Order: sequence, then C-alpha cells, then structure tokens
Amino acid sequence: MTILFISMSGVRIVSQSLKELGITLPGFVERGEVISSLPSLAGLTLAACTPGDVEFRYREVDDITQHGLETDVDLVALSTFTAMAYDCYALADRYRSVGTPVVIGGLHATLMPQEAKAHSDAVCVGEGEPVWPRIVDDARQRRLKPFYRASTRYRYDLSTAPVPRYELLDISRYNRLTVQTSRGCPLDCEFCAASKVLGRYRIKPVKQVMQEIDRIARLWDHPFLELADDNTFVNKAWAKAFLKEMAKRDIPWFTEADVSVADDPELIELLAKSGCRQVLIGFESIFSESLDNLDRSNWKWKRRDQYRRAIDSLQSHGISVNGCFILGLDGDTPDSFEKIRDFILETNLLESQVTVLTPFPNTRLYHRLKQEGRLFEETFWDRCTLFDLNFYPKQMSPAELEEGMMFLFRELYNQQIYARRRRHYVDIQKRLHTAA
Amino acid sequence: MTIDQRICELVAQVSRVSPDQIQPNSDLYRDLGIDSLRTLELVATLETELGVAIPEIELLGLKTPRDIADKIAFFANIPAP
Ligand code: SF4
Repeated sequence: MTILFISMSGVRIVSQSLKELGITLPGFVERGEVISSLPSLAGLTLAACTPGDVEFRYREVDDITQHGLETDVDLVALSTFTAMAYDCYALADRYRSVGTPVVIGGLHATLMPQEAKAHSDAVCVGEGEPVWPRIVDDARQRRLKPFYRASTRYRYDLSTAPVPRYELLDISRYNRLTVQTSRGCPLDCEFCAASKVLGRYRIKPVKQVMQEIDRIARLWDHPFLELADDNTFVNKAWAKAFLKEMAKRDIPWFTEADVSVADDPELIELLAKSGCRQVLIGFESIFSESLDNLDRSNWKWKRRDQYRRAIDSLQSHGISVNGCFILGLDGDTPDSFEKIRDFILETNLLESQVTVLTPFPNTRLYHRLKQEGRLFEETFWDRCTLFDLNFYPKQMSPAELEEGMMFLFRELYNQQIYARRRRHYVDIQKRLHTAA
Repeated sequence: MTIDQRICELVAQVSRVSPDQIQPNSDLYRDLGIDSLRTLELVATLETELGVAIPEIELLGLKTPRDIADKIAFFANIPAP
C-alpha cells in the first residue's frame, strides 16, 4: 500500500492592492517566505504513525501543481489551513475523480468536518495520531468510514508521540525545520482557531523533544529550528529544563510565546544561552479597549503595561522579538494606526506582524460577529489570510481599516525603516559580542 | 591570513559550520544556512572583528564569503582579494 501525503502550505493574500504592496516590502516578504517554506509536521508525524509495510510519500502542494497528479497511490491524505481549503477540496475532487480515495484532516477540516466530507472519503477530526493507524487499516481494506474523531475528553498524550520522519524531506528545500514541544494554549483568545481545535495545554517531555532535535541535527549540518507551538513557555519549570538542554547543542531556533516569557530574568538568560534567536509574541493590541475580553481570563488586558519592558529585556539579550498586532479589534479607531506604528518604532521591535482580525470558521469570534450581523458573507475561507478583511469593524468603516493596514505596511516594512530597526539589533549584537 | 580566509573564519563562527567546509564561493544561504536574521549577526561580527562599518543593507544581496570580502574591501578602502 502507498499513501501520498500532500501539505497544502503557502501564504496568500486575495486583495490585489495589498498583494502588490506586500511584494515590494522586504520585511513582509521575508516572514512570508519562511512560513511558506516550512514543512508540514502533521505529515511527518503521520508518517511515523504509519505501519512499516506501507510506503508513505510526502509532497508539498507545489510539487503536484508542477508535476501533475501522482496516481500510483492507494490513499491521498491532505491537511489544510482555512485559507487553502478550496484548493484542498479542488485537489481532493481531482483525486477522487480518478478513483483514488482521499482523507482530509488538519485545522480547517476539524472546524468544518461536514464541509470537508463533501470532498473526501473520510475526514480526520481533531488530532491525527490516535486515529491514523485505524484510517490506514480501513483504507487498506477499502472500508473507510466518513469520520474519524479523536477523543476530546482524553486528549492525546504527547509523551507517546513518535519522532516525526524528518528523513522523508529533501532538506535542501527548507530553511527551517519544525519541532513541536507543546499543543494547545491555556489563554483561549476569542479569535484563535488553534486553541479551540487543540484544547487543553499539553507539553512533550524534554527528553523526547531533544530526541527529535538530535534526529534533525544528524540529518542537517546547519539546522535552524522553528518550534511549532502556539505558546511555548507556559510551564516555566519545563522551559528552564528545555533551555538548558538546548544550550548544550548550539542550534539556532525560533518560537512563539506570550509576554510572560520576559517575567523571569533567569529564563531570559537561559533563553539567550540556548541559541534562541527570535520569539514571536502575540501582543495583539496596545489599546486597553481592544484587549478587554480578548481571552477568557482577560490575561492579555492585565499584561498590557508590560509590553515595552518585555521587548527591551529580550532584545537586550540578543533575542529579537517579532511582535504581532491585530487590526480591527472592537476598541480600534481610525486613530489607532499611527499609535501602533509609533509603538513599534519606539520599542525597536526587530520584526512586527500586523494582520487584520480574522473570524476563522466556528470560532467564538465568528459566531459573535455573525450574530451581530457584521460578517460580509457566511463563508469566505480563501479570504482567511489574515490580510483580507471579512467583517464590518465596530468603530470605523471597512475602507478606513484597509487604508490603515496599508499605511502600516508602508510605514513598517519599507527599506529605510527596516534597515533602521535592523541596525538597532546589529548594535545590540555588537555589544554582546564585545562583552563576550 | 588573507581577507578571504578571515571572512570565511567569521562566517564559520556565525554559521557554526566548520571553517574547513567553507569556501570563498560557498553559498551563504543555501550551503551555510545564513538567513536574514543571521545576516545581522554576521554584520555585527564583521564590524566588531574587522573594525569596519557596513550598512547592513549592503550585505543583503551578497551570496558568498567572496562577495562579502569585496564589499568589506570597498568600505574599508583596501584592495579587494
Ligand atoms: S495566546 Fe495565541 S495561541 Fe493562545 S489562545 Fe491566544 S491566540 Fe491562541
């Protein structure tokens, strides 16, 4: 039996004007390139859960686009984000039209299982590992069931997760490889699809994470790791143990965390020594009214006064911060954009990501905006790009929000400003280099 | 030590690739994994170790240690290798 896994990766924007502006901006292009060239950890993990007598092929969707359908396979497995859902369905339809059974999983299929089922023989709802062996077995016996659901009551225990099969990748095509150390996030922001799908926060034992990292280091002589976590340092004791192990390996890496990562000076020291190059932090907003009630316990609102100190503490240790800001939150007004720009420039954030609030299907945000009559349409998945607007903002017109985003793109990602922000980071590096 | 050799040594320091695997014409990004973030570390290292000031933007389009050596020679006003 042969299984073909196709990763529906890619970053896209529907709005033509943003697209045209975006490709001219170096800061924007770089992060886009990094994201679009990350391999799918889901595919490599499923490969590791596949019985040894089954051939498992891993492909990026671009391979299929360029070389055509690979039809000498018995099952096609597709995993997709919301923005690529329609492309995923079109590809699934093509495979099914030539008689190859298709199973669809991933974030979007878990949020919209009935929709995914219309284009597939089976849908994997929730985490793949617990149900994948059953899917393979049923596909082998040609009796796939419409839905395979992982239990939401007993979440998958990450300590039993296999090492992803990184050796399936042509590593020369990637500039970073991903490692997962945790799943879920305790904050549960209203707009977050990942925390809804992944549920309770769980961590992988440090020893196991290091096995994965060591596997990568054996395959790749100059690895750069991106932790595929939503919020890595929730458990500070685990974090310190992990960082001490990373410090022994001298491998550069990147991850996502919340602002509490900067609470503890010892953690920051360990982070700097561990090879961490950048932490992406979802600040979301600098406005009290916009942060209010964003997550269930209003955690981000309570933390809003700590942003500047956190950025400075991390960056002065040589750990650059990639700050994420969401535009169009209910507290935002037409005056917000200049203030966001000023904050980013004043704090010397090396990188920043400004995106528009996006009501992903079936999230609390989606249901609220729908109830308030604020969605442009009910389904707009190809526009869930984080850059295309899909709803009526509360305190400004859609045009004002779109213009505000264009303004920030121009102000933050242009060559001169970007060079200035980078120079600040070079100067920090020089200071650290001299001190060492 | 020639400027080529010195640059290779500093590139090795930043990339963590053994110096004997780095040639003046190695591809910084493809062979040595120096992405935009590590380009900044490289600029800091070059400036500190060689005492030259390099507008980091100047290094963005450079592909090999030899390209860097040429650029440094230009900024430090010394003959290119
Ligand atoms: S902090 Fe990030 S990962 Fe956690 S719920 Fe909020 S958006 Fe999701």
